[in-house]
Amino acid sequence: MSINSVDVLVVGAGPAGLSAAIELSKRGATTMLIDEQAQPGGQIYRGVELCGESDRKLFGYGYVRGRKIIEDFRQSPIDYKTRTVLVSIESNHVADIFENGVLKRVQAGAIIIATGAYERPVPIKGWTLPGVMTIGAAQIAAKQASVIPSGRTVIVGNGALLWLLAWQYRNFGASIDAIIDLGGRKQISKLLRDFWGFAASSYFLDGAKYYALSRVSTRVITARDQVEILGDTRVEGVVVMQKNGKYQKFAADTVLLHDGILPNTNLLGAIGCEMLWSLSQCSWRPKVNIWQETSVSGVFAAGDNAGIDGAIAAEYSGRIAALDALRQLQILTSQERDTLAQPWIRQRSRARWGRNFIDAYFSPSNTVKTASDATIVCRCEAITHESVSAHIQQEPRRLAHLKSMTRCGMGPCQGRMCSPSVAALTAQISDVHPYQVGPPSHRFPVSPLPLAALAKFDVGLSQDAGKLHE
Amino acid sequence: MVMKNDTGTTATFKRFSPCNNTVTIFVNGREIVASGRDTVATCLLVAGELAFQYNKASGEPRGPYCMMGVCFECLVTIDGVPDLQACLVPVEPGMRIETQKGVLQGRDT
Ligand code: FES
Repeated sequence: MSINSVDVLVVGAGPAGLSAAIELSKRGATTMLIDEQAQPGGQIYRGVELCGESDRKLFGYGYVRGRKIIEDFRQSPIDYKTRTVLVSIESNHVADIFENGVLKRVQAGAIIIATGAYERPVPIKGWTLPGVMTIGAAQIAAKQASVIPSGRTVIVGNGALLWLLAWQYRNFGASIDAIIDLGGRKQISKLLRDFWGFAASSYFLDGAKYYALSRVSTRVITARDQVEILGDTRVEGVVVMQKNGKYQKFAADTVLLHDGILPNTNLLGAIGCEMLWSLSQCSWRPKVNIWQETSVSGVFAAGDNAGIDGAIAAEYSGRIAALDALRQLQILTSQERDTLAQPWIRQRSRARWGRNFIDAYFSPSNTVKTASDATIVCRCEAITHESVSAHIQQEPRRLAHLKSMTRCGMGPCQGRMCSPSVAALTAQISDVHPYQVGPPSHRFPVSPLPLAALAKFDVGLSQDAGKLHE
Repeated sequence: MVMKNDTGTTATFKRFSPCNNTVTIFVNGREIVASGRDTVATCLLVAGELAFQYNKASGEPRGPYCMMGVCFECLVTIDGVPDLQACLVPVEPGMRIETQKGVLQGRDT
């Protein structure tokens, strides 16, 4: 295996990773950026380079902004590797990456992890049926290739992204038959406290517009009880059950789910970064200092994987992480770093305005808590709510036991589709706070390598082994 | 244009703007004109495929859920290589895609 040496390895080509890489290369650091996708932009700016100008505008200003960042990125001297995943990191910042079927070793002076966020799983009965996908997935299909549902579409869930998509669908001419709002009752007193920060933020005008327009132009049903998706081999409809035994049915060809987004921390967890529980966002995030450096020296977390702050804050946090990495590499002095960082640190906090309000307004519904027994919790291994609950009751708070007994969390998604639900259930059943359940444990490789890859890895290893025997 | 899949089911996805450049690919042997911007997952949805594979533990049909590489529900066979994430792979001219329906592969232990 050849060893590549770079000053900084950046993981993830969303707003944080791109901004970090641009800043690093501008100041003379050799920079490698690896990303799982074939095109830069992460999920928020997915497909923005190839999307026609008039289409781009239909997504709103938040999307158009990505174009400029990617233009800057394309002009920077960065070793950009697409369709590449990080396999593992050893001490001394030695990373194994998997690119085009080949395993390569990279020695980096510092590592910036910018793996963004993913959507909180929404376990309700029938959510594994073909034709059910997330709001984020629907947005990605639209950004990637202008793909939208053509049949009857029902949205179920809660969160800011849901209302943004509803507004974008209006622009595309996609019809929505109903929005089943799982948002629950709002705590007015708590909301008022954070309202002024929101009113002064960049989210206020646009956000309020998306929300209000979608609410008045679509049939919105507030559901406080159980919701189930109907269908045999594909989705056929949605049923909203009420406490008094009445129910309302909606026929559907496509169902889109959402319950907010979570930092994608698998990589950071596997590296051994210390995690903190965010009370306002109900999720784990790495502990970072003002420079976005984690508890592991020289390893930075920038963008939404360090806590959900949105795309604009992500840009600044990426640049700020880059500045401290440059100082660690002795390309900048502490003084130079501080001077350059000052305006960005201000901008980063400014971009966070309004976040508390959004978090409180759309606090997660955690549908797993009210899901019926037969609801699948672990999608990969098809393990039900009933079976997960039974194990938690038997062996409270021993998640390792649950894994070994049921294979829950052992599938290819590496627990990302079940661990938030398992933690919420554990907290509910054992009557403890979610943070007492602890962060999920992660090990390398955080995404499974295709068998073909492992075969090639073996070849590499056996060649080395052969040398040892000589 | 709304497409139908092999079994005659009408597609439940379409495009809201026309494709500027197209590529021809094969889905379960059927010739499909895809957008040059498509991933394998987006083009399968427009071609009327909703179930991409059967879950290896339960045998239930599954289709793409996250479209961003997290859930592994979109596994298909591309040019003979099984279990690839359709949502991460851009389409390429002449690509042969097989949904993994009915292919219940043995689970690894
Ligand atoms: S749809 Fe989730 S990994 Fe492809």
